Amino acid sequence: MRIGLFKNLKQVPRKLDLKRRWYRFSRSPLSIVGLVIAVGSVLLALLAPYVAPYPKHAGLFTNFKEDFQSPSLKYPFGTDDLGRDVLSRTIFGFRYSLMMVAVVLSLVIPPGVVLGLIAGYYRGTWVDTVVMRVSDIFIAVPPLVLALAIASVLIPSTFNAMMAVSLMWWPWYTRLTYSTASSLRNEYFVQAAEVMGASSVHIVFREILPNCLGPILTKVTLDVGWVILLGSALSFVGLGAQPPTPDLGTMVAGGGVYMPDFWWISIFPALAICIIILGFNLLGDGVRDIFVEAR
Amino acid sequence: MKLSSYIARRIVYVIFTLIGLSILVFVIARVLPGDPARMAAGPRAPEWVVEQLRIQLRLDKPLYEQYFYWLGDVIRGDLGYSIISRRSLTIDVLEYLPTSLELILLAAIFEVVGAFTLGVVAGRYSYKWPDNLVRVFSYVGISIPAFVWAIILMLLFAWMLPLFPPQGMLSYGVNAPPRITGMTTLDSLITGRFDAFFNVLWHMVLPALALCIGGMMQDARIIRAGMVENQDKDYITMASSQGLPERLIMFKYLLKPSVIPAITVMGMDIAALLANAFLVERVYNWPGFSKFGITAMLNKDLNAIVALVLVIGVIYAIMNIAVDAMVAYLDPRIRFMERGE
Repeated sequence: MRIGLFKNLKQVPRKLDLKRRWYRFSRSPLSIVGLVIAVGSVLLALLAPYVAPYPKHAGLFTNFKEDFQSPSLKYPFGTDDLGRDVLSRTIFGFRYSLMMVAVVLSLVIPPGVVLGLIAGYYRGTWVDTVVMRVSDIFIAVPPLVLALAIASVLIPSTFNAMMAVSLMWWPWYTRLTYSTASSLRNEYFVQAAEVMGASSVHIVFREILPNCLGPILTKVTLDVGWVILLGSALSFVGLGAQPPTPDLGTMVAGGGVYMPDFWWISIFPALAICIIILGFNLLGDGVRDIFVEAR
Repeated sequence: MKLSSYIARRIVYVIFTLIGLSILVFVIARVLPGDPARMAAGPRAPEWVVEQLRIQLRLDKPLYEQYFYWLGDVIRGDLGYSIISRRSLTIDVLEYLPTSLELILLAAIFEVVGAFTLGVVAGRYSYKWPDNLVRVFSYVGISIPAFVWAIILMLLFAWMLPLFPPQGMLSYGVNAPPRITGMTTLDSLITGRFDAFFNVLWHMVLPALALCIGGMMQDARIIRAGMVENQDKDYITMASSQGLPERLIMFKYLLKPSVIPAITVMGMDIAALLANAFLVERVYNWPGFSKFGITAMLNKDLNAIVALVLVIGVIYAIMNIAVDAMVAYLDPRIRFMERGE
């Protein structure tokens, strides 16, 4: 009887059932829209030099003959105060925004998740207390304020803005992983592994971590929008990317001076920010639908 | 556990977190390269002046000693000396903070009223067109950063349709009321200057809207979700089968339990207005805390940056405790819950 029970357990598919998950994801048209926007903006970022009509305009370039041109066939988004094509600069802006996301998330996720796993596994001990109370400190002020403060003591640059955002972002992953890991701590399969004498490294990374991946992946997709928002806010204030870098936030701030007559200089990059964030938010909701069983 | 002891525990806990925060910011501000004394004195000042300033600012002492001196000052209500404005930061904070707080307060009012209205309408007509409209708006609302809202609203309602002033706090020709609380709206009411009051309010509408739209849409979604979830509960079926008026069911039986999860998120969103105000105030040239903060940040006024983060941390903490207390009051389950995440 018992043996039969275990046999049945073995037949439960352990792999990611891709077909079923894709079905669940594709049921919502909004998720598909999100996926299309997300893939589109990644492609646009990768192919920027080939897609942009005037790739030279992304850097140090001036053409005062054609400054402040309103949107036309030649310059679909108009030109800015230095005569640079706003469309080309916006396309290159996707590059900087997504690069920021890639760097920040790859810097933040490994330490954040590992700390959360450790704190969750040693739940109730001093390790738990130290890790979680330290992460509380980083959450004691709104993320933007701390990122601004950290960025302000550094020399303003794209790289330092990434560092500032990374430094205050890890606690969110720690808390997320902690909450999942600490509830998994008492599950039978973890206890079984313990009884069989598995090492704590094995339990944390092979037993607990795979079960935390769903929420983490969901958070990653939703965070893309947040990191872009935070990064563009930093450069909007002047503490992030510096001109002539075609960063979307910097462009919005730079064009603000010429409102309302030359509105296209800041409105188009601003809309670009919104579209990326919208795309990844929709995608994130779709990813959550995959992992959350019932809604 | 009683409500008061619950709150007391939260306060003790928050004080420790704030001390941790102050250590973190203090260390970041001091450890990173750059000589604050040299920056304060200017690049052409002779070495002995810089040296003297270093001693005066206690920069010659080891880091932990500097921290304890600083902490002692803060407890006595002295946030330190601003290298840029050349006066006590306590004065600076008291001058700029109220102007920001009144803007945030109006944004919070907009946010709560808007979120409830939209959430209740969407919940009442769930899966019909008002619900779908709110859903679309909520996706758009959340995806547009506050500073982009600020620019869009300014373009639409200050330039294309000149209903509101684009910038500033008072129109030309309107004298500021005498400074009593620092909040211009309150000052003008106290002194009976209703022209100034309405003028300031008129200037506040756009920035406050830009600040709150994102959070408002998110909160509306949560209220809507709560209402839809509770609609299927047995007690609602019973109430409606007993023939209770719909209005009563909606507001008394359906809205009340749906509000609790929304309040937590709403509190966090309102506290986050403090951060977004930094960007929105810049767009609308609002003479608030962010003007002071951003000047300090761009000029690397380290004392001011530390003070700024700490002040925002304290306000944030107070708001969080207030929200927690409110939720605990409304939902006794929380009060009796064992501690744990």
